[in-house]
Amino acid sequence: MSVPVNVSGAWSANGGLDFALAAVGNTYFSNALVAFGGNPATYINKVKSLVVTGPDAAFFNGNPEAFTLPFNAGGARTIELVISFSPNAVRVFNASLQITYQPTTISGDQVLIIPLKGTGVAGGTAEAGFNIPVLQFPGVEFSLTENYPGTALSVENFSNGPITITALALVGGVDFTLMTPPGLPLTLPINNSSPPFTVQFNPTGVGGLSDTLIATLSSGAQAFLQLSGQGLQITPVFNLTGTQAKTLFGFVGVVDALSPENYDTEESAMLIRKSDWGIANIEKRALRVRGHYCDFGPAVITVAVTARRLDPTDNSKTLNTTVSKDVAIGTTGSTDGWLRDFEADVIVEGEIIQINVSRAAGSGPAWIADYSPCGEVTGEVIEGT
Amino acid sequence: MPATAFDDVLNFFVRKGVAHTRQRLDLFTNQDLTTPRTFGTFKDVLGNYHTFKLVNYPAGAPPAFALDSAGNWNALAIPGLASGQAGSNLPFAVAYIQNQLYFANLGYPLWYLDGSATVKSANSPGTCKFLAVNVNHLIQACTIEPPPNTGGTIFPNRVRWSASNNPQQWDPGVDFTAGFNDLLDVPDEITGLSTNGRNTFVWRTNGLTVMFPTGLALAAFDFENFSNSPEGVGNMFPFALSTYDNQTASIAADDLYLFDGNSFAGFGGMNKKKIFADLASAAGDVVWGKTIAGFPGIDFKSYWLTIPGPNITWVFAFESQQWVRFSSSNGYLTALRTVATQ
Repeated sequence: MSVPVNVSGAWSANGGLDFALAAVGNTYFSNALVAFGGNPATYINKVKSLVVTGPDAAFFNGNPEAFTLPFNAGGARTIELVISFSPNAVRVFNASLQITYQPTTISGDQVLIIPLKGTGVAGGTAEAGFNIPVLQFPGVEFSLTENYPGTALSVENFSNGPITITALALVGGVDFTLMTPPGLPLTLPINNSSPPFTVQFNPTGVGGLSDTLIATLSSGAQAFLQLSGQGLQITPVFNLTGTQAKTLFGFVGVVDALSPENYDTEESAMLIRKSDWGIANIEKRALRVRGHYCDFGPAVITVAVTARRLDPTDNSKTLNTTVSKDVAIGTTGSTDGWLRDFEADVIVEGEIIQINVSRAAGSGPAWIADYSPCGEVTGEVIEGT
Repeated sequence: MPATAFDDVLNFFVRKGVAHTRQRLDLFTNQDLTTPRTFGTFKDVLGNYHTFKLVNYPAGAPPAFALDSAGNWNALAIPGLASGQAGSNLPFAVAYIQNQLYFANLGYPLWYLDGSATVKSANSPGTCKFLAVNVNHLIQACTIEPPPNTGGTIFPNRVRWSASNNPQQWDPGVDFTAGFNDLLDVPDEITGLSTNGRNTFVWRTNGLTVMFPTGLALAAFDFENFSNSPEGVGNMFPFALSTYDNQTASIAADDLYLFDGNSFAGFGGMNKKKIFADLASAAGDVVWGKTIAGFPGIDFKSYWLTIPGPNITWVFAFESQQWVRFSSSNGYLTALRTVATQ
């Protein structure tokens, strides 16, 4: 049984810690949390040693959280480590950090090896520098973006005379992006700083990532700022491919889904038209309603015609007469086209004619392409309306 | 069939010159019996799709659920959510930025989904009623700071924007591309946000304020009032505001309007009087609206205006320029969206 060990921060146990470009003569720091996982009741991890080994071990120094070795980390205990890098030459430096620990449930020691790497470059100039020594970002999910979480960056003039910045650039420029840099060349008087600018961290991978920001002066001297961050990976759950979709309708305590090709509505439906046929103050007799429908299968529609006129004995009231007829439409398995006629004989007389085409809940699909009321004029309006 | 063919249309849709019965609704999984306020689908940073619902929630309960491929809803855990923590049952504002789905409803703090099993904090100073996105800033409006459970103060005229490219950084002292502005010179309060083209519009009860990006990091946005008279065209029903493409539907005092970033066009038409009568009798919940493109495989770009009380939804079909009505024996509609289910 293995004991999980996780390293967080700007490092990763697999990829190790890369200080990237570091100016000769300077010291750079990076920290990380090392978590010894496991059930506290089962695993008691005794951390026995933390040693930097390898050909360039002398240039990397471990500075663990204040504790005395060996110590019992306990289940799920996390310790913080700080590693420094002090290159003395222009070359690549390699070493490794070995953490030796013993879980109580496993016989023998376990060793975690974290590779350490750094590249010494020509020493930073004393003429200029950045307003902060290092820039470390928090963990950012892969392909997302994080702005520098602090005050803006600037290049400062440390010399006794004016300096001119001729270039400001990232060495890699893959995981970090320079934002709103000042226009160049830029001359800084004594004791002055450049306009503020920022750096974004947009990891293109997972694990510890680094880069170096270099300010180059007209004298050829350079100032360095080391950037580091941790690319994180989300653990997605309930993944969908997006290949199928539904339209969801929410109600109080209920979710329904629409069936796009099913027109047999579960609710009642209706179309209402009130009209005087464009002939005011004339009585009409409706005879029938004709129309066309698209055949999507058997259904029953109800065609109701209501005639309205004022009550001749009380003009504050109306008299309504309604005649309705159920009409079966649609066929099953028809092969002779799908635009068909419907007709409902509904004879009623009045001035205002209201046509109501309705359909009871679940009584089949109804596609009304057009309709035409048929009737005749019967004379002047009785008692007026 | 012309738009004047019928005076009132219920549960028929008018499309392609034909009036047809609306499509059937069938029960979908809702095993937790919650009342959905928002559905949606977003794509995470790894390219997976996630369908979520945000629901009415009792205090201290999780509001976010994710749909799995078997059709079940799964509650998403919220680290640190205290038992009894105060919330809200208002509709949610949602915004999608950087493969994350941000949401708030003036109750719990501003949170986001990223496709993982937990809901995460956006580190916002509070919560808000409205959200929008413009030039990689996440924008809040009408805020409570801090959130209600910690005794917050409501700022009905506050607009707050995140740092550029970082919707989890809201402190201008930490990142100067973040900021906020209180619209104290207007006679009303904020009732919505919409981004139309390059500008974000801050809707007010009786007017509109345009919030435009300046390109300057130190002052990311500037504000100008379209109108600041006590009366005018704005949005009177906060959750009825709905933006599709570059067009925003709103309800003013005299008509319903479509706003394209430059001008208003009334679209209440001959049904305006009846719609306003229904709005006047709204009761029991909030009026809300949503514009949709249609249904899977069927174009039916339409604006759906739900009015609790009469329990009716007015549906405006853009193609036929005609209003029809939708009803259900389930009561009034609380959420509507086409989402991925597989």
